Amino acid sequence: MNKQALIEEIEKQYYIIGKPVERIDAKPKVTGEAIYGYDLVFPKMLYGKIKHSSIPHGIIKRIDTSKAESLPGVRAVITGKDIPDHRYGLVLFDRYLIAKDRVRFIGEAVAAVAADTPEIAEKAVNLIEVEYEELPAVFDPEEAIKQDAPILHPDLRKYGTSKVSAPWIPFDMPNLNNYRRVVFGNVEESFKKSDVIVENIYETSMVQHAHLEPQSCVCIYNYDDTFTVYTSTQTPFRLRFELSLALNVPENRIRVVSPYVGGGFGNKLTIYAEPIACILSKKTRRPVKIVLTREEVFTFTTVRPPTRIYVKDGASRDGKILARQVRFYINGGAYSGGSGIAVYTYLAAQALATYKPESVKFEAFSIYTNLPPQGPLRGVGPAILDFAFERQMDILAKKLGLDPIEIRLRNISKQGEENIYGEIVDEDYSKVLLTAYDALMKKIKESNEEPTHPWKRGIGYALSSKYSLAPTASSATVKLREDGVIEVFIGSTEIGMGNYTAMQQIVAEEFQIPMERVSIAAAADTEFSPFDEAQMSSRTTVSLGNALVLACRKLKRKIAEYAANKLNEDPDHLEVKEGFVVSKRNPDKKIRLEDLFARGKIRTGTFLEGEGELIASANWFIQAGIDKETGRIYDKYGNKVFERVVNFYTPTGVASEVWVNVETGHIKVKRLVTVVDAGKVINPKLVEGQIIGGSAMGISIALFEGLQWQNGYALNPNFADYKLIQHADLPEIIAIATETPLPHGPFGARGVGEAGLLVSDAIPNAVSNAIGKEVKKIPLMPEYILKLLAE
Amino acid sequence: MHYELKDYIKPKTLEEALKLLHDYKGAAKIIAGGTVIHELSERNLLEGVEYFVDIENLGLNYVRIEKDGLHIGATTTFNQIVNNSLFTKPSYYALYLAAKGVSSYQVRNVATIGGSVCSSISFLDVPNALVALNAKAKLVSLNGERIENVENLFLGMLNPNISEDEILTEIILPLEETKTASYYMKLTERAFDYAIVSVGIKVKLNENGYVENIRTVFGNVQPTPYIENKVYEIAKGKYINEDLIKKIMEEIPSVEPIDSINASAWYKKKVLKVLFRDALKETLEMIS
Ligand SMILES: Cc1cc2nc3c(=O)[nH]c(=O)nc-3n(C[C@H](O)[C@H](O)[C@H](O)COP(=O)(O)OP(=O)(O)OC[C@H]3O[C@@H](n4cnc5c(N)ncnc54)[C@H](O)[C@@H]3O)c2cc1C
Repeated sequence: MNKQALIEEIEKQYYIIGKPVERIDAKPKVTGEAIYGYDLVFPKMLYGKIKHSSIPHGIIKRIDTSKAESLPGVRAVITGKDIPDHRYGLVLFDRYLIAKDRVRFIGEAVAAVAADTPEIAEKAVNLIEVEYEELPAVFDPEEAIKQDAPILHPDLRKYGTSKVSAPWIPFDMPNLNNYRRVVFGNVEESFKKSDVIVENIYETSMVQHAHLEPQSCVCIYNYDDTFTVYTSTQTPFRLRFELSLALNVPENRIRVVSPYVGGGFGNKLTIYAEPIACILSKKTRRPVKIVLTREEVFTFTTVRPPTRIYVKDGASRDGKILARQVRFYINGGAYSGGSGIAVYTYLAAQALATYKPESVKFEAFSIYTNLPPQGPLRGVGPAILDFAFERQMDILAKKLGLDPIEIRLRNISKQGEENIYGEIVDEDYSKVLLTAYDALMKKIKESNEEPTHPWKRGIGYALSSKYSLAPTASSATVKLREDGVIEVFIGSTEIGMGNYTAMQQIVAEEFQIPMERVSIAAAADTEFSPFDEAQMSSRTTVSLGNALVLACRKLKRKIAEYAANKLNEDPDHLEVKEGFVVSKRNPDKKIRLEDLFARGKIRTGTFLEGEGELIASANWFIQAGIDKETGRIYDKYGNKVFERVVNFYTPTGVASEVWVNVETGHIKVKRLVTVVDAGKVINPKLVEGQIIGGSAMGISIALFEGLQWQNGYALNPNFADYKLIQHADLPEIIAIATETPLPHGPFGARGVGEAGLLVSDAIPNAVSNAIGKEVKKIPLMPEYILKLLAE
Repeated sequence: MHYELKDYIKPKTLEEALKLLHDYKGAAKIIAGGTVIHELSERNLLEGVEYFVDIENLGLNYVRIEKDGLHIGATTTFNQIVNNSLFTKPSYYALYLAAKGVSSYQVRNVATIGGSVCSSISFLDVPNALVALNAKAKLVSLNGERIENVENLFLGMLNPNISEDEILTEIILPLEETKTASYYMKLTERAFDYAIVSVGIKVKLNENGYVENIRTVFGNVQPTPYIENKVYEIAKGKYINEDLIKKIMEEIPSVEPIDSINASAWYKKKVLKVLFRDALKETLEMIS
């Protein structure tokens, strides 16, 4: 579709797209009626509990479960001996669901118990005795790649890998488990031409997702040798795949059901307790429930990895970046897990899409250490790299005497041209940044608050985008129900962002019917729901939205064809809208959707004569990829290997005002504007909610968050000591959505779930602006600020 | 839970409670508001506990002025202190601020003054404020009673100088004094948080405005409340002006602070000076 036509389509009056429709899950959630995995109870259900390793690295010499087994109320105790000899993972199969011979971080499962009550299960777990032979451990990625470092996975090269996306380990480096390179132009040449060079090392902390609902599951082994798994997950289908690997059971023998999910942020994309509960259930022939404690969420699930980023930029006098060279060290933790290590190397690099230096050399190293495995957190790393890149922009600007907005505008990837990967840019980066800038300046002007000693004001910006990963696929099915309601089947879970509401709106739009005439089953179920990749990567609105639009259009055609006979009209002239099938040339020729159904003679029910059901299913898929050697869509000979690296980008611009207390180092975020390009807003309330939520999380990560470890032991794995932002620390957040249509998005929409996190990269710039010193690590603890000021 | 509760007992009289503590010595734990007990339970620090003895109904919830001082019953809650106008008077204002600074409203509704002292945790606010105010505590057991200065009740972190069969029944504050004011300030990471460090201060000036007495307490600088005598030594008999404050700031703290997970000794030293200066200024403002 050409651009003009697209804009015309967007501008036309929508039936319900763009309206602030109330969330369909608002009432059940506020009243407590909504059912989560945490709530589920089954007859004869047992409670499972996991025993975790107590050392960061070692060999299991002996496990004695006899005391636990003889405790009254204990129904089963399992160890590594009871599990299949199959390692699992997403791209690299490096982990047993329970350690067999070796433990590599303190959270790792070494045994598990099923008992009549949670209390008995806990007691039993404490009665299990494990004897270890400790091995030297390593916790820093750059220590772990030294030649004499302890090797976590000596058999790495023998591990199985995913056929579609295997990790890349092109050279021998201790503990390296994935690598990505991006080579664009020739940085050596460009550095030679540069007038200024800015080189820095940045560090980010380990961050936990802190979703409200801990991972919770009930697993049931059925009489026909199948498993039913109710669990709190972002991805029922991927979960089923990983379960089949871990349990060595074909996927068609596993059914995964996911009711409402109490938040995920990327931490519910892999298996944790599910395979353990499955094995306990098989052993006891009873349903087994496992709910992780908060401490387990901190130490046994995934985290956003701590990283160290080496950046060297060369620029010309007028602020054009000529060379950007990056080495990105990811503290990968002990396993690649479901989605961790492997994708950080791959996807974080998409932060490079925002600007277009003359040349880029980027290398990401994912490295095993004796810490918890890594998982995505509202994205897989661009917000981490953007911290370094956006700091560099400000430092360069200062060196060159340029305005921070100006230097960014001079370097952005321009619409219609290629970005460094070779993808054609359809994003408008300048719009989000300038909109944020204008809104903040207006706000500051309106208030006449001025900081007085010891407070100092600072303004800081960040500009980037959140990619959405590809290749990716979504399927959707829609059906006309006898009462005229359109029933929707999707395999996506509702993890709190309101996607079910947005999906319902898309169907309502297609059929031009009110929200109540569309029904979405509030549980994704691999047995009945069509395939959907996952609730992740800001992808649902675009991928599933597209699949739904296609399915709706198919169904409308089918309905028209079926009604054609009854109305004696050519289906090409029939339209399905507002609950009717109506002729476009003779509006009197119409039939109510319900009236398409006939009723049986003895009035038992309704049917569609000679048709069965009016149901339609569709799939939406987007291909993408890179040439490994160049990291771009072109190989080194200039041949185009792919059209795109990712599905799309969502540009985000942030403008923030902070006040810093130069006597104590405390930081107050005073005003914040976050502008996200939504392409087309499906529901303004939902978009605003996502932007504000992401912004709050961004402030929290910039100012407070860090899971701390000492020799492999967590120091603050709880909400008293791990500092999350509190409501009272939040400023008014001004959330603005701009609309630059995504050519292949439904109605032009882009995903907005993760983009707000970029706020974590504007705050450090504002703080540096306030104190006149360059911050180079987050979180910005008051002590760190005072140290900088004392320098 | 790493302990197994046999019973939760809620006696009606002090005698009954004391007898229970005596009989179950070691296995019984007093519970007042339960806000610290909850934390101890979560962190597996209640090993060996079999009975909770709830002291809510012992009649220890009162605030009354007697001739020897202001008596506050041990189970008086933080919100009862915050909502009692007695505590907004300058002599007691430090206690008011310490109690009010405890988040959240729900915690203040149940957390008690006795529980706060008996927890012996270096970063709690109320104990530090009480020490600044020269508070005494009355402790009772079947063997009799004793009255102690509050600062003598702390041996170390989670280690109060209180026997397992003793109940702290009340806190006694000196009667209101003229030309006197007190203040409490804490530095936190977030809006509602435990103190990184805190300062409790009580100043009495003489008729001419010279320092008659200053008592300064630093919280979370040592495992127990730290009484900073340097301040009084320098300021004794003097008129407090900017120069004097600067001089004091140079001299404090007279002890090397303990490191915490979120702040090093270096940082604590730096911010204590600032916190002290601000708290002192606020205190003086209340007197004039
Ligand atoms: C979310 C939260 C936030 C908090 N924030 C703050 C804060 O900002 N600042 C702050 O200072 N505090 C804070 N606290 C802690 C609060 O001060 C204490 O929780 C409270 O004062 C303890 O009182 P309690 O009655 O709940 O004690 P309990 O938990 O009932 O008891 C504490 C200890 O004292 C013993 N004990 C209790 N009463 C007596 C008695 N009369 N005689 C002998 N022993 C006794 C108990 O056996 C136990 O060992 C917070 C607590 C929570 C949960």
